[in-house]
Amino acid sequence: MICCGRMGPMCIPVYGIMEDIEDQYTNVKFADMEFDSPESHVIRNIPEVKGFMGIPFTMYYKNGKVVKATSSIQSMSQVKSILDSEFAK
Amino acid sequence: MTQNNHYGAIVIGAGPAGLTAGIYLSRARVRTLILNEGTVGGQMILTHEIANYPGVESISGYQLSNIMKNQAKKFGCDIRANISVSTLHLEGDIKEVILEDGTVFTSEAVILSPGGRSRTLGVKGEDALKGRGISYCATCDGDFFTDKEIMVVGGGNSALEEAVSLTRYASKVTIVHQFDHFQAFEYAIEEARSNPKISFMMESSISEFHGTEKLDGVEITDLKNGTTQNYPVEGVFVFIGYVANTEFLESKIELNNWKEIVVNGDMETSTKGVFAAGDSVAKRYRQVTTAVADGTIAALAASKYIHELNKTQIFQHS
Repeated sequence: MICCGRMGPMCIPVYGIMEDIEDQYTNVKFADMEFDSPESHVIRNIPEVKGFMGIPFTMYYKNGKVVKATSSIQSMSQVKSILDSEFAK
Repeated sequence: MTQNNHYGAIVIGAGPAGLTAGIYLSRARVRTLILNEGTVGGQMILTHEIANYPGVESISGYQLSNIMKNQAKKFGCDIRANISVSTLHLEGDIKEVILEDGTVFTSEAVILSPGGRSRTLGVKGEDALKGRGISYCATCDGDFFTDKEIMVVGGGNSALEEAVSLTRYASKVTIVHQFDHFQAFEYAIEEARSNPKISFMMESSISEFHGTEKLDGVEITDLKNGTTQNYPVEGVFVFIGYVANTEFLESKIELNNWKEIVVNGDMETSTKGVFAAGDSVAKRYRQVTTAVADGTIAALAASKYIHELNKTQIFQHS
């Protein structure tokens, strides 16, 4: 799970959720990326984020492919429901 | 009730009011638990810069909330974030707070500081198109709308100030407001009026958002006569104020007509042993500083209450 954002009110809550749950989802790697860095073009320019106009862009990768992507702030239950359905052990 | 899950005081909400209450309670040697539904810090984290906190020339809301959180922990507070409160039992000498995962916490006193959240319009399409053209944060998402025509909904300081700041990116900003006049300060109204990129649609309200993958239009209702019209638009920013997070308290303590918690000068609610602090309290002025003051008073009053309660119980048993 990669949260690509800045340090604002929509992004910080998602980082906070990831910090809280990373010990529960041991089969998932959690990371964040700086939205404005050149390296983030690999997220900013892909078709899965077409139509996204709110940060952060939160990407869920499985075996190298994007299985889910969300735009803007997410709640704990929204994140967990994606992790539970896509990354069940 | 295990020893681990029993506290002297439980604080619901970890914004500046709740964190301050935690600091004061734990320094008074009251075993304290602070519970929070989202990220610790409350609405402070919405702000990139706080320049009017006395003693601190400039700091980001997130940094300030982190310092407060660490202070509370240093004095011994337990803090649990990203939980959900499902039920509360606030009557009697022992209060109970039950989480959605079934965990039960008990305490002698409870301090309610659940704060507020951004009000949404609550109309069709809003949920689905959040982050896909609908935004509640201009500093976050403004640059996605460079050279586009957008709308801003609201009539207070936030709506007018953010509309002006969005003219840095957007080619045109239309302010849509339900009343025929603004509630903002004069300087904000003047700045918006004199900006050539800003136009106004008064006594109007967005009644529906349209679009599949992203927002492509809205239906606007003319509130004077009820007629509706569709307008193409790719971005809408909503700044229509805050609503108190007090739904979970209805019928448990006294709330006023705006669902804010009614308290006396010592932050006591209508229920014995239950105190409240911060933005969710009925008050006129909402600032970090007033929340911190409320949290202090609530904590001191709660400490005194717990002390008296224990004295009475010892007396009864002797």
